[in-house]
Amino acid sequence: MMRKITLLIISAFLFTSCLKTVDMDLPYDGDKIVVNAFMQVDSVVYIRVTKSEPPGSNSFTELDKATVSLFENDQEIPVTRKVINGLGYFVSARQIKYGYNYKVKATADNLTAVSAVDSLPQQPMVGLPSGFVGGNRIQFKLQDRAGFTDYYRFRIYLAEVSGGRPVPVTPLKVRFDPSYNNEFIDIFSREYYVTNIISDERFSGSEVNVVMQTENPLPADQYLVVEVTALTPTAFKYLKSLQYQGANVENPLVEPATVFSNVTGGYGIVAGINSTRVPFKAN
Amino acid sequence: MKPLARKLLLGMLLLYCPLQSWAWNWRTRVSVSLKKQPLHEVCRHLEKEYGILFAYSRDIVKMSQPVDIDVKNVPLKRVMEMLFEENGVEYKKIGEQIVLTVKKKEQRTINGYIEDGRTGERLIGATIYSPVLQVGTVTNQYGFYSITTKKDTLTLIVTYLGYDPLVLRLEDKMSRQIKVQLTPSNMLKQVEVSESTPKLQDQTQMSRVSLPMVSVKAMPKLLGEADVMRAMMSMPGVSGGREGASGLNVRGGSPDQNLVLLDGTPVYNPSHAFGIFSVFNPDMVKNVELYKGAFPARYGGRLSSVADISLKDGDMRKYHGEVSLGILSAKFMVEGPIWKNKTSFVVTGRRSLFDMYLSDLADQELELGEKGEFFAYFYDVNAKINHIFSSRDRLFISAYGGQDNMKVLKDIDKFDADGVKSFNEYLNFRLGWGNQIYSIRWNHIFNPRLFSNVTTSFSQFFFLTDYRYRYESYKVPDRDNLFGKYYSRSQNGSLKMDFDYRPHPDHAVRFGLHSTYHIFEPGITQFADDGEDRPKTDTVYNKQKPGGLELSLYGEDDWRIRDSLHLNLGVHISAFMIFPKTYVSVQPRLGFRYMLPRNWAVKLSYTNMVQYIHLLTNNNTYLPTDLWVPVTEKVKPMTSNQVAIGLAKTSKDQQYEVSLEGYYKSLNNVIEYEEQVSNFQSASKNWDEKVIRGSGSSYGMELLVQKKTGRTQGSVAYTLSRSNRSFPTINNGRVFPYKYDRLHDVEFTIMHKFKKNWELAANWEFSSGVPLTMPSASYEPGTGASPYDPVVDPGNGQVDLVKDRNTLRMAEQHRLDVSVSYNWQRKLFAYMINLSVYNAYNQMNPFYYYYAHNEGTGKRELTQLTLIPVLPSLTFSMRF
Repeated sequence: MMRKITLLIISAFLFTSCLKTVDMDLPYDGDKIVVNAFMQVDSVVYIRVTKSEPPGSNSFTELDKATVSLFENDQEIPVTRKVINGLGYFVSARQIKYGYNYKVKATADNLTAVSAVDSLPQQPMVGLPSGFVGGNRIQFKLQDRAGFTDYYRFRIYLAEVSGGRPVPVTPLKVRFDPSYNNEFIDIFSREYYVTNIISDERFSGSEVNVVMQTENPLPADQYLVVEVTALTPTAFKYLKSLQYQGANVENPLVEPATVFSNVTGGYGIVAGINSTRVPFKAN
Repeated sequence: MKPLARKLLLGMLLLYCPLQSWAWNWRTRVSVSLKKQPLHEVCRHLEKEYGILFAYSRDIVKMSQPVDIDVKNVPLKRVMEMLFEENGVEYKKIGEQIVLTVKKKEQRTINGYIEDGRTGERLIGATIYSPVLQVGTVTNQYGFYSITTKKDTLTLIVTYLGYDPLVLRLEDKMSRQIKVQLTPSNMLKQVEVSESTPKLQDQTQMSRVSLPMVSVKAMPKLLGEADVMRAMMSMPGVSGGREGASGLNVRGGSPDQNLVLLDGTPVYNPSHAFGIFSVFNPDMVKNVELYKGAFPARYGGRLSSVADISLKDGDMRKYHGEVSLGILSAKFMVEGPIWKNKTSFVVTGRRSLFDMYLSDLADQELELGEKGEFFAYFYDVNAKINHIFSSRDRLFISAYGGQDNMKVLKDIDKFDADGVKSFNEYLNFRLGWGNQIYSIRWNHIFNPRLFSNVTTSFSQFFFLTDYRYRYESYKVPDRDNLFGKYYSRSQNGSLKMDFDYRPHPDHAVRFGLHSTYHIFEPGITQFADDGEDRPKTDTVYNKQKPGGLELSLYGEDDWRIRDSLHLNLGVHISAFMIFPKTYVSVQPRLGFRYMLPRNWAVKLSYTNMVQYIHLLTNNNTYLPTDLWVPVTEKVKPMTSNQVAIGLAKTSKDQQYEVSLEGYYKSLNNVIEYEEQVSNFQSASKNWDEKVIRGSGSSYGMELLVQKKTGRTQGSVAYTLSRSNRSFPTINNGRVFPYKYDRLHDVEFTIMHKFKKNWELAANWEFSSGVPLTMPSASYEPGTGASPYDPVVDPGNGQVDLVKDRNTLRMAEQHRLDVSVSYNWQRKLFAYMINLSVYNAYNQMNPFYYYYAHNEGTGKRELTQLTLIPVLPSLTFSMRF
C-alpha cells in the first residue's frame, strides 16, 4: 500500500513519530442487532446474531434469544439455534439453492427489528491446479463468464485427509500478480494474504491462468486446496470494504473507511457465496 | 433742469460708460440654445447677445467643429468650459475680449523599468510617485511602470523596501523612458531582492498576501529547509494540511483549488516528499503573491487562491553563487551575466539527502540482498536566461524540472529450512512523480502607456510506477517474469497575451487573451507476463487521453474616480471545450476602495470563479496519486462566489501594516468519491459515475498586523473561520465541517537582527482542532459460510461503524519554532550557519487517531499519533 512507502519515507527524516493512548468520549450510536450470514449454495445457512457495542469494543454479546427467520423467496425455512465451537448460530433446517432470493429477519427485545436479502452466485469454474514441491508457485485455470461482472475470493489451504477426502485445515499466505488487483506496492513489500478479493474487470469472459506466490515452499505428500469463491455484488462490497478498513486502520493518509452493510435497521451482512474447492498435490 | 435731476442724469451717464466697457465678467449669466452649430457660430451668438468679443486666428484655432449647447442663466465661465475644454481650445480673458488659442498638452508620461542598481534584477511592486500631486503607480510583475503626470512635474520619488529611496529629477518636460536603479540600503548585510508593495490604503486590491523572501528565509526551518508554501501558511486565511503536510487550504478551499503559477505557468503539484516541502527552491524565488480572494480578472481557472511566484532573472553585472548543506538537502545557485548588461542567467539545483539515512532501514525491512539498491530522493533544477534586446524588448526563457523518485532493486537468493538455495527473486521497482515546466516570455513596450507580455508555456505533472519481477526456482522448473506499469499524467500548453495600458492617470487597464490546451492521462496500467511456460500476455488498461481547450479573455480597469474613491472593474470570460460539450462562463470581478479619515481604507470585493478541472482524491492529504480530470457532461465545472469587506492601513513611516477582512465564499459542484478506492485507481471513462457532487461554503474574519521594517520585524495573524461541505449521500445530506475547518488560528512571528552577525526568529502557532471522523459503534464481522471451515481472520476482529463524517474534533494544536543564524563575511565570501528547532517545547500535537490493539490487555485503545516531535536541524551556506 501507498501508506507503507509514505510512512517509510516520513519516518526516515522525521526520525520517530510518537504514540500515546488518549481518553476521548466518542458518541455511541446505540445498541443494534448485527446479523452475519454468508449463504453457501447447497449448504445449510449459519446465521450469527449479535449486538453492537460502543466504539472500540472487540468482544460482542450474542443475542441468543433473538427471533430469527429465513425466507427462500417468500417461503420460510425453519431455523434452530445451535452452539458450534463455542459460538451460537441459527441454522437453517435445509440447504439453500441457486436461483432463489434469501431473506433473513431478526428481532430482539428492546432492539429495532432488522432484515437483509441477497441472492446466490453461480459456481466458479476452476481447474488444473499445480505446483512444484519446494516451489513457491501455485497455478490454476479460471474460466470467467462473458457478459457479466463476476467477483471472486481466492484462498489456498493446506489440507488433511478426513473421511477419505482432503479437508482444508490451514490457510496459506499467498500474493497475487498485481495485474489483477493493482496492488503495486505489495510486489516489493513482504505482504502475503490469506484472502485475496478481486473483480473480473481485467479478464472478463476469458480463461485465465491464475498464478499465486506462496510465502513458504510447497510441501511434499500433502494435499493443497485451491478455493475460489464466487461472490454476489453484496458480498464483494462487504468483503472488499472490510478488507480496506482493516488494512487502513493505522493509515493517517486516508479517511476512515465505511464497511458496507445490507442489513436494514441494524448492521452486518447477509450475502450469497459459492465456493469451488479443488484439491491437489504439488509435483 | 433742477440740480437733483442733473445729478441723476450725470450719474447715469457715468455709470453707462463702464457698463459698456465691462458689461460682462466670468460670473455673467448667459443663456444659449444651439444645436449642431460650429464653435465659431456659438461665439458669434455670444458676441451678438452679450457683447462678448472673441479674438482668435482662424488658421491656428480650429473653430469649425459642431457643438450642442443648451444652457439658461449659467455663469459664463461654466459655458466656456463646456465649449472649449473638450475641443482642445484654451481661453483667456484679456481686456475686453476672450482670446482663444490652441490648448497646449499639459501631461506627459514617464515609463520604464525599476531595477536593483547592483544586479539589474527588476523590482516588482516598487512605488514611483509625485509627492506634490499625490499620484503614483507601482511596477508590474516585470518591473515596468508608466506614470502620467502634469508636464511641470519635476520630481518623482521611487521607493522599495530594503532599498534607499530615490529622488528622480526630471530635467525637461517631455515624455520619456527612464530606467530607475535603486541602491540596496546598507542595513541589510545580505542583499536580497525583497518584495514591497505600496501602502495598503493606496491599493484597491484586497485579500492579497505578499511574502518578502527575506522573511521566508529568516523563518525557522523544518529540517533546515526554508519553504515558500510553509511561509504562506503563517498568513491569516491560509492553513496547511495536518501537521507536516503542505497542501494549502485557503479560505476553506481544497488544495486542488489553488492556482500555483511559476513565472506565469501553472504547476499541478507544487510539493515534494508527499507534501512536506514545496517544489520552489527559495534561492530562486524573487517574489511571492498569494491572492485569497478579490481575484484580479487576469486570473482564472481555480476557485480558492492564486499563488503567483516570480523567479529571479539573474545578475546582469556580476557572478554570484551560493551553496548550502542541510540535514535534508544540498543545493546550489549560480547567477551572472552572459553578456554584461544584456544577457543574464541563473541556475539552481537541489537534491534531498534522506536516502542516505534510509538505505540501512530499507535493507533491513525489504531484504534487498547484496546486489540490492535503494534510492528515495527528490531533486529540482531551475534555469533561466533573460536577454535585453532593446529598451523596449526583453526575452525570458525559463525551465523547471523536479522529481521525487524511489527505486527498490532486490536480487536475492532464498534458502529453505535445510539451508539449500530455494529460489532467486529479482525485483526492480520504481516510483516517481514530478513536474516539468518550460516558458518563453517576451516583454514589449509599444509606447509609454502600453506594455505587453506574451508567454508561451508547457507544464506537465506525471506519476509513474513500474516493476519488473523475475522468479526462478533452483529446485523445480518454475519461473516467472512479470512487468507492470501504472502512470498518470496531466499536461497543458498555453499561449497568453497580456497588456498593461495606462491611458490616463486615473485608469490602469489590463486586458489579455489566454488559450490553454489540457491533456489528461488519468491512470493507465500496462501489464506483461513473459512466463516461459505460459502464453505471453501484454495488456493495457484505460489507455485514453481526454483533452480540452480552455480559452479566456479578460479586461480590468483600476479607476480612480476621486482621490478617495477607487473602483476596480473587471470581467473574465472563459470557455472550456471538451468534445462534444462546451462550457462558457462570464465571471465578473469587482473591487472598491474608499478612503476614510486618518488614512484608513475600506475595501469591498466580489469575485466569481470557475474551475474546469477536478482532482479525484480519496485521501486526507494531497498525494501524487490523485488524478486530474476534466469536466464531463455529468460533472460540471466547479464555481465559487466570494464577497469580502475589509479595512486596511499602512502607517506613515511604512513600519506597520494592519488589515482586517471578512469574507463569505460559496462553492458549487465540488466532488467526492462515492466509495473508497485504492491509491492506484484509474479514472476510466465512466469515472463521473463514481463521484458525488456537492456544495460548500466558508466564511470568516482575518486580522493581520505586521511590522515590516527595522531590526525587529514580525507579524500577528489571526483567523476566525468556518468551512462546510454538503453532499447528498454523506451525513444524510446534512451540512458538515470541511476536513480543514479550524475555528481559531493564531500565528505570531518575530525576527530580530542583532548588530553583530546574529539573527533570531521565532514562530508560535495555535489552532483549534480540525474535524475528526471516528467510529460510532463496533460490531462483530461476518467470517465464513460455515463454522466448520478453518477459521480465517478477515483482517479485522471487529467492524467499526463509520457513519457520519467530521462530527468530532481533534485536540487543539500549538507549536513554537525557533531559529538562530550567524552570518559572517570573509573576503569575497559570506557565510551563514542556521540552527532551527521545530516544535521547540515538544508539544505532542495530534496527527491522527485510531484504535490500536493492546497485546497485554487484549483490548483496543484509542491512540493518538504525533508525527513531528521536537526536531532540530542545522544548515550551512556560503555565498560569493
